[in-house]
Amino acid sequence: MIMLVLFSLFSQWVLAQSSPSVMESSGKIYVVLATVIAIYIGIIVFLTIIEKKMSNLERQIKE
Amino acid sequence: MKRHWWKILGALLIAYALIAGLLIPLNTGILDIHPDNALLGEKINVQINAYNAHFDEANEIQVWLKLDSVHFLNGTDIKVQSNTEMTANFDLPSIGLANNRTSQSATLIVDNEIDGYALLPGALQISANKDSLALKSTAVWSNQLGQLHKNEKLTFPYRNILYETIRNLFYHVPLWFAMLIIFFISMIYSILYLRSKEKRHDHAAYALTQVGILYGILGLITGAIWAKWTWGAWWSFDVKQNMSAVAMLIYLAYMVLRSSFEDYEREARISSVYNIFAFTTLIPLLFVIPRLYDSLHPGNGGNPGFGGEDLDHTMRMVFYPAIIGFTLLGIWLANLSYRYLKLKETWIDRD
Amino acid sequence: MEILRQVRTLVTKEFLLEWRSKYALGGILLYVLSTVFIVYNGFIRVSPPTWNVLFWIISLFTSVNAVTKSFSSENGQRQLYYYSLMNPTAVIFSKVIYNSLLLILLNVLTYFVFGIIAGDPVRDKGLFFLAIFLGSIGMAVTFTFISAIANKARNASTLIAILGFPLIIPILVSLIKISANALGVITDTAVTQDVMTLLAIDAILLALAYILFPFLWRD
Repeated sequence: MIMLVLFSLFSQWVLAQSSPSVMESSGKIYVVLATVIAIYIGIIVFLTIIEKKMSNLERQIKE
Repeated sequence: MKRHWWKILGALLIAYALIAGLLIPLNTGILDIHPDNALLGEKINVQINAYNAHFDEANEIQVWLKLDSVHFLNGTDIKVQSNTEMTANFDLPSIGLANNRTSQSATLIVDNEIDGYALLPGALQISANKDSLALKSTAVWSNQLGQLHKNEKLTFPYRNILYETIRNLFYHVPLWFAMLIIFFISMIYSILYLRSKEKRHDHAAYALTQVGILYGILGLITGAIWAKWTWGAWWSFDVKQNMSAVAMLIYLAYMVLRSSFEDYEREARISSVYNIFAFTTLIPLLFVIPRLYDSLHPGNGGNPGFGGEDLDHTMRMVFYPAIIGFTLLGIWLANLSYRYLKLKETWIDRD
Repeated sequence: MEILRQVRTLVTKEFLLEWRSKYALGGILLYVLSTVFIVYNGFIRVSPPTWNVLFWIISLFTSVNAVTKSFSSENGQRQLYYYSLMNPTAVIFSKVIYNSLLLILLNVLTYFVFGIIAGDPVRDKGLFFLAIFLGSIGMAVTFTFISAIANKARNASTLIAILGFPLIIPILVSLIKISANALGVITDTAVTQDVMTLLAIDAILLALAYILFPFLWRD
């Protein structure tokens, strides 16, 4: 959960850094790109969290 | 393979939403014209900037000004500069504004056989004042429009301000729909748990809520990104933004509640009760709040919506599969989390 | 009929307990007074729209304070005793009835105190008291139920705010809208519809509390 919040803050920071002209160019298609990337990263973060919990459990089972 | 068909379906639908949603071009639209105001009776030369147009390749370009349903004016001397730029002359008549109005806006219509026709409502502000009285024009309005071409190609509608971001409809809005479906299934599992007291039902409810929260947060982030470059601010206190933020608060509270028990049976039972209570209060939240705010702010600050005619046939063809795709992907993600919870449970209960 | 008798007994018990430990009621009354006074000192001149929102915010916090103790004040043994004696439906209904009455009293009191200190812009008194009535019931049901949930967990007092505030938002928003009508801040022909919606929310919450409470009670 904390990772998700951090990620959201970070992504907004990154987008705030990028110059508005880039996001406004080519009919604002980069806004769509940013949206798709945000969803992609969100899903990857979710999978990473499960993966991490899984590894912890595996380690416990081995011990 | 038989057990996994829905995962394949989900992946295919999302791939379809990505490919079709990004590759189908936008319809032709008019970005702006210059000048955007004129006097009655004036002869003007207008510069027209279009989006996704093919003026260079087109042969039968027509330009019209439409004041109302019986006042049309054909543009002459059309000079094409590039695929998206051209100029046209308009010879405005001396009369024509409705009921002694001093100013009225006209719609610009651009038509050619490749792109079909495109409109820009409110393109030209036509005024009548003492300067315009001095201009004596012999031009007259025509009472009907010439034959327009219709674009038969597969395109998404063009909207000013939105431009290409109209495609976000396939990636941002389905998250919200899928979130609601997932929270609903989660509530069903909570009811099942209270009836059966089987741990697997509670695990399913918990896992689904996790994915629902993921989708909710992603929905807020993608919405903020979209809002920043269309409405101008990350957060503009729009009804739907507030609603989804409150929904997130309700379900984040569910996570906090789950972590404040020592005894598993009690945790499962009480958080199931809360889950049912929370989803039911989500319903007035979805139906009451928008109605209340709409009556307070008619027009809703001019933000573009996607109801009715805005959601055209081509968009539906991508939008609905995207909803199903995101829901199935969500259930897949929840399934992973569910299997982890079950494994952990068997490991803890092993002796 | 048995349930009705039990409800009556329990409501009487609540009132008796409250009466005996006068400091609790007195504390809440003092709380209302000091909040209103602080708010007034902060704003000094209160326009009707601000008055409206402030009133309901004060009312919200008063409700949380008043209702929170409905389950936490009962210790484990006494709960066990009730459990062996009473029907859970009777328990939740008696708590809801008692808390609704208490909140109606407190909200009316807040209204008078606020009216004396910051002025009384209410034009349609009937509609405003209807809003107080329905709002008190809605808040009573929600917070009673939430405090029943939170009381089963650790750090109950934090949980009540976390769980309760988001859930109260639909009620609070419709209340502010209805009383804005009563204050004449906005005029809306659909105000009957808003009252009906609020009534429907109250009914749904009450039904849910009735269905779900036995699962909380059984311990």
